[in-house]
Amino acid sequence: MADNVTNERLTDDAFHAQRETIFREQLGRAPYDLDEALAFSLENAKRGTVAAVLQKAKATGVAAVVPRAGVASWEGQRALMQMLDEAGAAYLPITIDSLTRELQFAEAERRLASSTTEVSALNGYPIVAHGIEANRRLIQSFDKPVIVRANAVDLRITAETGLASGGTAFVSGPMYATLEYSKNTPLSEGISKWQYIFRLMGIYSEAGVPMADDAVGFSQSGTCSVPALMHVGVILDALIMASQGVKHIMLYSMLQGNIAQDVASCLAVEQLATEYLHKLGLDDVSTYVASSDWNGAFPERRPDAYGLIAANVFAAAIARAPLNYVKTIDEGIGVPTAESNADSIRVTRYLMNLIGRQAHAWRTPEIEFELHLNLIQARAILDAIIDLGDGDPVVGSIKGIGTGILDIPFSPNIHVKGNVLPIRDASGAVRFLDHGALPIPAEALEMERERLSHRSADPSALGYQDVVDDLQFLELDTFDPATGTEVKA
Amino acid sequence: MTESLQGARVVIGSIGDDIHVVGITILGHALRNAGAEVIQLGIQTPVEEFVATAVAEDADAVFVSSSNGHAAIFCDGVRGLMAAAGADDVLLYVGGNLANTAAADWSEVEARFLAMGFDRAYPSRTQPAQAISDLVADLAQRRSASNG
Repeated sequence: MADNVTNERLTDDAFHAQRETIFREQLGRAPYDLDEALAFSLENAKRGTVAAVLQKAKATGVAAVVPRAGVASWEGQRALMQMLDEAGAAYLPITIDSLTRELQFAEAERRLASSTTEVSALNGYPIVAHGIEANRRLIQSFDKPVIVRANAVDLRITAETGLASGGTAFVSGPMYATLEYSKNTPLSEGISKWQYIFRLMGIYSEAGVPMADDAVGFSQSGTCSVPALMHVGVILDALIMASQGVKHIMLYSMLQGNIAQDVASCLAVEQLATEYLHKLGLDDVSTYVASSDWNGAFPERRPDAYGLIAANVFAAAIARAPLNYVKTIDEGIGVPTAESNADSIRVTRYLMNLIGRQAHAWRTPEIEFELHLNLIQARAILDAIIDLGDGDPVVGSIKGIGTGILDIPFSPNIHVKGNVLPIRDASGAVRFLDHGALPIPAEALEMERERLSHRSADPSALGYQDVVDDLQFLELDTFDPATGTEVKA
Repeated sequence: MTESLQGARVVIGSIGDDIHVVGITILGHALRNAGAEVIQLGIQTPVEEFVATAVAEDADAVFVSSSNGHAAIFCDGVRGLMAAAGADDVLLYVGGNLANTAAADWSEVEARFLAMGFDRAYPSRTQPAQAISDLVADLAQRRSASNG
């Protein structure tokens, strides 16, 4: 039961018992035929997998650029994926609607029925309502591999459906899904449900289909955050995935507009993953830095949005990240159109290639400063969590939420202390205004305090209103005196 | 001029399957700073919980947020349920990302939500000060109407 969740691998018996239960409870039917799904998936994977695309990107230095996109109807989703394919997406996304994610399968089916190719009543593709046969036809109509994108506490049926349909990658894990995406779920329950999904991916991997998963961690909160803290979530998600048998993991690094800090963030997350996977004896796992465009408030004006995307790509290219998840120039307006998705992929690919060739020239001392700061902060938190669990990161995380040594800003989850607040320094790099009970070393606090002194002569005078202002730092054009907001110096 | 919502009771939350927390957090603080009593329901709030809370808390206004493209799915029944609960006089505001495509024309989106019975509907970049000043005006108008 959720009360004594550990990082141990699920036994076959426990997995299959749970499988029977969720299919019966959530869909009122027997589980999909797993042998048939594995056989189909193995055949389908011969056409390519997300893991193979990422391995190639890492080996050649030519980054994979991937959008997020989903609409309700089969034809609409086919047209959307085709446009993204033609625009150069390295692999293709099927983003699942939020009714399906919240297990409202019947309602999703009803809204699918009221959708047309042109007008989607849903914010994604209802993969369960469409059914495996239709999904397979969709996925097999493209040469490129497919990632099934969703995020929620309980995606077990969605994952079963996506993988049986030919998807070779999935998104997220318990840290993000529980602490950034749920109001009431305790972390132990979120971890337990996600361990099922990771074990399922492990079973596919062991059958010869190398499944890949996005370790999102605390890197998509919708606000700025200290990169080291975002990485703590990524590493914990990655450790839990790998322990259940996932062999290919994309490590999220959200880009926040400060180039040196963003480059260091991409470098740090890979180094941390290598260190902590090794620490737990999980050395046979491949990792890929997934630079991810700014996920907070986006500029409404398209030239400004292009500017922000360019700044993000610049950092990702200097770090030689093998993967970039693009936001679109419509992000500040709403759910993007296919055309704006395609334009955003093009500009990203263009800059990744142009700047990536010059990466070596931009490895500055400032990047080394940020990298050192990032690593000592992240290691201090991760070591404290693993110690608290006597070596078990799951046990430590669950306890750590209670004590506040694991804490994040702006969490919607009632179990999170919520004592941590981020703030930007004068150059836009993100620091702790309040680190709550996070075990941040004195050296790191001193480095941060020195940087914040450039924004305010008395950093202790910075307060909640400054945090609120910072939420719109990249959204509003603070560099234009006509907008009335001055850059703080 | 500092606008005051002293004594006003406002229920706020993200509706249905929406998990966006930042907007309601900021707006909640802004309303509180303007003097209002804020009842914060957080993310993924069912329509029924908005209505029950509005009644139980004797709210003057309910601020509904939806940023995930499913506003049209969950917002349609709010006014009807409020009326059924005998709370038809509560002001209903809605904001977030109300359209499910960036190509949508705002005036059409606004008209659709006003037709659902919302008193005010806001596009995605509205600053808290705008909603606060509108609420001050709407509450003043109600008071003068009930006094007159």
